[in-house]
Formats: sequence, C-alpha cells, structure tokens
Amino acid sequence: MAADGNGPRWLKALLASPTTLVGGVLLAVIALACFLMPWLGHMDAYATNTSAMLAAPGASGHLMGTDNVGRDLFARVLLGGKASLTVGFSAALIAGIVGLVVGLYSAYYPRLGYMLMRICDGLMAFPAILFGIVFVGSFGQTTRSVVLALSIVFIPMVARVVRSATLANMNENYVQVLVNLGAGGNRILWRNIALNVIGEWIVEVTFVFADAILVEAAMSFIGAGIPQPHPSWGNMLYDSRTYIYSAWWLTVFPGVALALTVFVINMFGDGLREVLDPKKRR
Amino acid sequence: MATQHRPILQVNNLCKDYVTRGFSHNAANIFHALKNVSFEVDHRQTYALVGESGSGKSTTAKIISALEKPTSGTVVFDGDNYTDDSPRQLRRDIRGNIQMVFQDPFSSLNPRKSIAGALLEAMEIQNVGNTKRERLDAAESMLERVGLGSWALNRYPYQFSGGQLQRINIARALVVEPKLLILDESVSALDVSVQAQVLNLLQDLKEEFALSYLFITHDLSVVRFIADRVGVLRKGTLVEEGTVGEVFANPRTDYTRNLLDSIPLPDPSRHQLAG
Repeated sequence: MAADGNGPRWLKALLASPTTLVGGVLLAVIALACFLMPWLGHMDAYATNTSAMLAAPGASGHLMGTDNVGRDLFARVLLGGKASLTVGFSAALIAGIVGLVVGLYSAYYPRLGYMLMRICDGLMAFPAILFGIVFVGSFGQTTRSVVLALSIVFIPMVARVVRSATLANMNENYVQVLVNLGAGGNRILWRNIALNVIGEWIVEVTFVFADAILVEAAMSFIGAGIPQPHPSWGNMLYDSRTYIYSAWWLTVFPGVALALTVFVINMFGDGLREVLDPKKRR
Repeated sequence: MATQHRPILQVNNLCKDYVTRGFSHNAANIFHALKNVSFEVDHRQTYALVGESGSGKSTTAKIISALEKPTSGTVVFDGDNYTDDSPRQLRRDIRGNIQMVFQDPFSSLNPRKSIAGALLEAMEIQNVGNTKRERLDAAESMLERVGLGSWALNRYPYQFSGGQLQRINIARALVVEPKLLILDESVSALDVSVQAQVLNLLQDLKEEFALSYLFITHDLSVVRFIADRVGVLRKGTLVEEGTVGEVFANPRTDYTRNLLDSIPLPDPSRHQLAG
C-alpha cells in the first residue's frame, strides 16, 4: 500500500527510475542554460568582430571560439538551442493536443475515425522535411510557419498512438458500465478513457519533441527553417561546412549540442514510459 | 393476479445473429447466437439463466441492458418496450433502472479513478442526490451496506481484492437505485467462500431494495441457492424453464440432466466419477 494521494506516489516512481531522473534533470539544465544564460550574461550573438574571426575556443574570452564573421559561438549555440527547444516544444504541444483529440474521437466514433485515419495516412505519406519545405515555401519563412508545419506533420503520430490506446481501453468493462449507466460520449472519453491514455500520450509527445528538434535542424540546414541571421543549430551547421577543415569548433559544438539534447529528451521519454506503465503498478 | 400480472421484465422471441463477412459480400457467415428466446422476470424475483459457455447468456444480458440491439424480438421493462428506443430515451427511462454487474471485477472499474470517484460519477450521470455532500453520504452508506466502509472511498481499484471489488461494483450498480440488477457471472470469478459471502449479501440487498435479479451463471449449485425461477439456454435456445424446484426435481431434457449431474457433491461417499 503506497501512500495515499497522487503526488507522493508519482514522485516515488520518478525517483525509482534513474533514466527519467537523469534525463529530466539534464533536459532542465539544457533548457535553463539556453533560456537564461544569454539573457543573464548579456550575451550578443549578432555582433560581428572582424579582428577576431574564426578564433579558436578559449581565445580572447570566447569559450567556444568565434565564427567566420567573429560572432561569439557560445552565445550562438545557446540562442540556437533556445530557438530549437521553442520550436520543438511548441510543435510537440500543438501536435500533442490535436493528436489527443483526433485519436480519442476517431477511436470512439468508428466512422469519423475511418475518415480521420485516412487523412492521417495521407499526411504520413509525406516525408516530414518535404512537407516542411513545401509549407514554409508557400506560407513564408518564419518561425511560426516552421512550428505549424512540424505540428501538422507530427499530428498523425500522436493520433495513432492515442487511438490504439483508446481502442484497447474501450474493450475494458468499465466503458460498458458507463454506457450502461447512461454516460455520454464526452464524459466517457474525457473523464475516463483520457485518464488512462494520458501516460502513453506524454511519452509519445516527448518523442515528438525530440523528433521535431531534429527535423527543424534538418530544415534549417537546407535553408528552409529558422530564418537567418537568427541562430539555430541547423543553420549553424550549414554555415560551418565551408570551414570544416580549418575551424572544427563551428561544426562540433552545435552538432554535439543537438545530439545531446535529442539524446536527453529520448532518455527522458524512455524513462517516462516505464514510470507511467500501468501494468507495473498492479 | 391474472389481470394485474405485469412482470418487471419481458423478453419476447429474442433473436440475435452475428454476421461475419468474407472477402465477397456473398460469403457471409451467419451465426445465430440467440434463437427465439422468451422469458419473464417478476417483481422481486430472481431469475437464473444457466448454460454452458457460448450458449448466449451474455448476449441476452447485453441486449436486456441495451448495450446491443437484437436482430428481432422485443424487450419490455415494466410495460415499456424499449427495444428500438433512441439513446436519449434509453438514458431517460432504462439506464438507471436496469444495472449490470460484470464478471471481471478488475476491468469494471476505471484503474485511475478512486472508489469515491466511481460511485459519485454513477450518481452524477443518473442525477441521484442534489449536492456532492449528499452523494458522498449515499456512497458511504452503500459501501457500508456491502461490507466495506468509508475507508474505501479514497482508495484505488488496485488496492482491493477481487471479492472487495465485486462488492464495490455491486455498490456502484445499486447507488443509482435500479429496479432490475443483471449479474452476468458476477460471482464466478470469486473463490467459493467469497462467493458465498457475496451471494448472502445479494439475498439481503434484494429484500432491502426491492430488487429483481437476472442471475446469469453456469454454476447450478449457485442457482439452487439464490434463484426462484430458472431458464436453461443451449446454443441460443431456451430448452427448459420453470421454478427451481420443478427443474431440479424433474428435468425434462437430457441437457439439463447433464448439467444437474455436473454439480459437485459435497459428500465424498457419493462420488460420481467412480460410477
């Protein structure tokens, strides 16, 4: 018998899973660094300095060196992270909410679900990057259209997971009991089934978060993502290609930052999957 | 009696077909789950429906509780034929009056909802009680009535045993004040001593709340204990019907006789297997 109430039990499970804990803490550290450090340290990622172009890491007070026009790389990596995390998080949030609604209703109303799932199949036929390029190409290259494009691309992934979890829950007797009591569809979906699929939903949303960051980087890399001169890990990698043999730090730091962030988010998601698994708690 | 007689539940010529379609529309495979089943349940009576698995007992229960529609035939509750009612009509007239307790006590409760949450929700749906306080009191007294206490309110289903959960399921069915309770193999999953406790509880509740039961089971020893009338289903057909005394004393079909012979005898000297 665990302690009564939700809070302590939740916390206990979280503490019992090192993957979740480490992943969560690292993610928080990365996020805090990207959002707070440039602001607190009055860092400038745009000021060029022709006397310190392609300075090596550590030289003249530049922790990660400077790029080809003398901009501080550390500030650019942090601000690039801020852009990536913002885009990834917003896309995951929008895709997550819309996907939850679509998934729940398409499982509960089979005919509507059939139509919605065919639309999802259609969306999934596009590679994410291709869809992103077309979308950004037709609606203008702004951060908002990048977020929207990514959200639309990832809605089907979330919707499918939620739908299958909902279908599994609908076979449980408690749904029949509710119908027998005279409950309406909205009460059954939102106040009962939703409670049981929210775990799987959270896990899927973290994976979408990581995926969205990767796709955004790829889009920025080919010039269809976050518009220049705003730094993003993708467009920094693109800029670094020319100097890859002379200035390794231009490639390595944004690359490592990107890989580390995606790794940490996936680790957090994997941990959550175990923490939220209802079978383990029986 | 003859003119005033109105049973609480009338099932008339109920048929249910399940159609499984193959690749072409011609290759339909029709399975007759129920064939022309008719019976009546009187007020304050316990009607037992027995039969082996696959005989259509649960299908009958689902049709009566309006979770499924019959292919043909009618179901009449207290003079009101609700076979073709809309969901709205069902919600108004039938849902609160006919409640069902399922076989598996674990999956009948939402694992993420506290017991209080489950009972309050049932009352909210059926508009029983006016304030939350009132509902909470009703939930508490009903839990006490089934042998649990207010300590159960804030717990979650995984903190209970099967027998306790089945009592909670019964409590949830009863808080909405139904007139007919369908028990679909409700005690089959419980071990024998717990089964006896729940059966005794059901007997007491029947008097207290003026209930009628439709008791579905494959276990005839339970039927003898609880039922007034019994109907024997076999492959979707009601092969025999009568009071418990009649059916147990002179079964008219071989099938019923076989079922009766399969009741385990508590006396070791009268064992059947050795013949």
